[in-house]
Amino acid sequence: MNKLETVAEVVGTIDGVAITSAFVEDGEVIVGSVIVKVDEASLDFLVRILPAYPQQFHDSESIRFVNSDLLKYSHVNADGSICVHTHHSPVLKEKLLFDFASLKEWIRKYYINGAKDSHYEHIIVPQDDRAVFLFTTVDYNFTKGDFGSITYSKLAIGFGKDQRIETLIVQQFKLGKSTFDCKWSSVYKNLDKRDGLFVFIENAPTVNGRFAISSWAELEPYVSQEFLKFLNFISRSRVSESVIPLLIGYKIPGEEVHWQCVLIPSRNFPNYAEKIPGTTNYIGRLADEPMQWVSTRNCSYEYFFGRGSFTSELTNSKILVIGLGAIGSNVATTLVRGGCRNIGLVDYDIKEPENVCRAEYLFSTGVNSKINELSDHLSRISPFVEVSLSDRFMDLAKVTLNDQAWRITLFQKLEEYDIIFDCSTDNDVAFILDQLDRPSKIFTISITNNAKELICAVPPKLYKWMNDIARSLSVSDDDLYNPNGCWNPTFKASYNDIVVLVQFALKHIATSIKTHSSLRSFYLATSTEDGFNIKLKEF
Amino acid sequence: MATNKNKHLEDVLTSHKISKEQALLDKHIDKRKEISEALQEKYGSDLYSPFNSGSYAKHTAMNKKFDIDLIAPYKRNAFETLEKMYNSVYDFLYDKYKNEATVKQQKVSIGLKFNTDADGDIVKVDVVPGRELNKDQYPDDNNLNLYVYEQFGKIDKGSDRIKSNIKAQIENVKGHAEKDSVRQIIRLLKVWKFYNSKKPKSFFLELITIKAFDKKTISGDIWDKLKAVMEFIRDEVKSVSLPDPGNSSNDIADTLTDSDKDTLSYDMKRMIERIEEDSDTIKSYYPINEKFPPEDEEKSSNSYGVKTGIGLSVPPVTRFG
Repeated sequence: MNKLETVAEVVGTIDGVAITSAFVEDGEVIVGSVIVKVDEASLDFLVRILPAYPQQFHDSESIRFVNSDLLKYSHVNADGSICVHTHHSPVLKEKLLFDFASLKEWIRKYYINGAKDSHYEHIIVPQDDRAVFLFTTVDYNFTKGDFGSITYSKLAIGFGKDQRIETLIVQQFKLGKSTFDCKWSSVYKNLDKRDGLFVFIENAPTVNGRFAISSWAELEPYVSQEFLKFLNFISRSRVSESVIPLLIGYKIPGEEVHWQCVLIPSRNFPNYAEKIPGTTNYIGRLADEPMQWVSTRNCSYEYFFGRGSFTSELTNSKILVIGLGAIGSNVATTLVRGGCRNIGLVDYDIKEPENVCRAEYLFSTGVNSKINELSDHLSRISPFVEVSLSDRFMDLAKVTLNDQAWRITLFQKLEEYDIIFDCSTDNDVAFILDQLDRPSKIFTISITNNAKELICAVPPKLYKWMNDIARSLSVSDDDLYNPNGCWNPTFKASYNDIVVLVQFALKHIATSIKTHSSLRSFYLATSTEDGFNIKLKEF
Repeated sequence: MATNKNKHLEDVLTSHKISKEQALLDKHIDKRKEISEALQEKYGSDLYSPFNSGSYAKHTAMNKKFDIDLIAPYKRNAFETLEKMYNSVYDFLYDKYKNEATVKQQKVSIGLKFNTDADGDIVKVDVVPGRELNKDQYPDDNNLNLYVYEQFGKIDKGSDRIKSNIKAQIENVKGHAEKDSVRQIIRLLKVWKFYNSKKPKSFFLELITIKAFDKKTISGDIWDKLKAVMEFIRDEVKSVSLPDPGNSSNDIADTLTDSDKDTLSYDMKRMIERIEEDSDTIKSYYPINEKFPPEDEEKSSNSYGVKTGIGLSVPPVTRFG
């Protein structure tokens, strides 16, 4: 029995389902119509079964149940198809039974009982992804009727779904004489800016509750005459760009502001003036012309790190990372991916090609200062991190340590940081940090050859403990990596060997900080005797 | 190579013997005498005889920190308030010693840290001002009120109710049936506290050690005894009360907050685990005073050719990152 015959036979046997138009092949798609009865409800659906069926395709079911009369109900797509997610089955017959059962469940829950999901569903906008505007929070509470100009910057050009994608970031909102900066880091704030417009309309501009309006005329009830005058003024100005983005803002649950974006052709503004009959006055109007929506994404800190971040005790801290080798670069990168926003980097060293295999550096950037490259890397990861750099700080510290005035300045500078990760493996640095009077949280991290152990020392007595333990763990240094012509031998370990320990250590440190446990020196011991395992030895 | 824990602990005690630093101890005693005489001259009949307290008096001292305390017992009418007493003594000591010492206000005492002398030694003396509770009562019961200068565990800053018969505290250790073992364990815990910068006051460690000996059957060799006391602290520190032998309504357990006690319990738990797992780690918790290494080690020079007896430590090992 072929696929078409199986579909026809199985659907015909499902309780409460009657075929009203026989299943036929339309190219590679199988198409038919059914009527589905659940309790007193009886609904017609066009059924389209895509070639991949019963497999899913791009995270969606490859069967569609379409009825465009149902648009106002929850979980209905713009084309009238019901959004169902069902059990997996690679067997055609079983999958059909699952999917029709799921359709009936939708009818019962959303059509008959009118259920509304507790989580907010964004309105459905017929946008294309040729341009994507990223927005974040500003220190201003928008109110209905606010309008003005924005600035935005080009972030990147990408490619996906067979088209070029331009990503842009919203930089500023200007209301009258006030300007409100979007909360990106300074690296992003400094990008070249272009101009656009915004209007805040309080409620989402929709038809059927969930679908964005498609004509400019439909926006008219949402905006004020003042805004239309402003639009008229802009339309008479010289605009160099071919399109001007208009951000349309509204509130969504949780007092959150969401922005959609529509492009205004600069040679064809949608506004016009209409004379009020019997008067000499004019009223601003919007034409019944299609709106060209483009994509937006809420990229605020909370969304950007919504899927997971470190505890706020870490992310709100000012953190210094000293020494940016394999350990330090991974620590810094992990902190930034975990949502940390204020990072200082200290290293005097230059990144060489042979550093790349086990540290967070790139081959493509060539020989480069470690602080500059890592700073750039961190800013590329997060638009919320401010990175400060110094290649001389610890050198200066060593030279001036015994000068009382300098020593005070040095210690004050170090004590500005809430947390210090010393990954320098420099005993002088550990010795200096051990003397801080108002200790920040300090973690001096190093590993032994072959990444057999990771040692993490904390105050008090950081220096002594670290050396005691390092001595007790010390394995022979005969096995060091010492290539011909290399100026200095180094330890043997791969990125995987090192990072598995660094991540374990950071998890332990973050947990201790989150639970306000006393911070203790520890080391991680690895073993391969019974499969690879890591044991935490806390002191 | 495994460490013989008992031998090591004996060596720790030996290397920290007060007598090893007789010259430095003498300097402390001389300085304390000088301060005592200065106080008597200044306060005259307002002051009873100052006396020595601290671990030296209790035979629980170790030579890294002498704990030379000088108790200054004032008469009831000498000062209107305890705060005035405390400030007066501080002002006097500050004026007298500001050019030769750092004079610091501490929890219930005034700390004098004298500048490094020609031998490179630093002498530290803590002066504890106290006032008798009622007129002429001190000679009878030795009770004193102390002033609390800064927050002290659960005891508030500015509070003045630490009443303490310090002589009774001294007798508490001296008079214990197992005083030798008790003193050994107290000294070891003080070595641990010193080298690891731990928070509990020495007096707290003394009392909880005595409590452990009173509550548990503690026997065996020195490691067995130390471990038993550490287990007692681990298990009981959060609930134990430690009445001050000088005044039973004064609970020394209150000198630590609940969170401090959690930390101390966890310290003991981790320390026992680490030492049981690897006897070498005992050296990190209870180090030998490198200035006075055991004779057998002193004879065999270490692999770096450095005689540790002159105060140099073994060079740090290479770490990677």
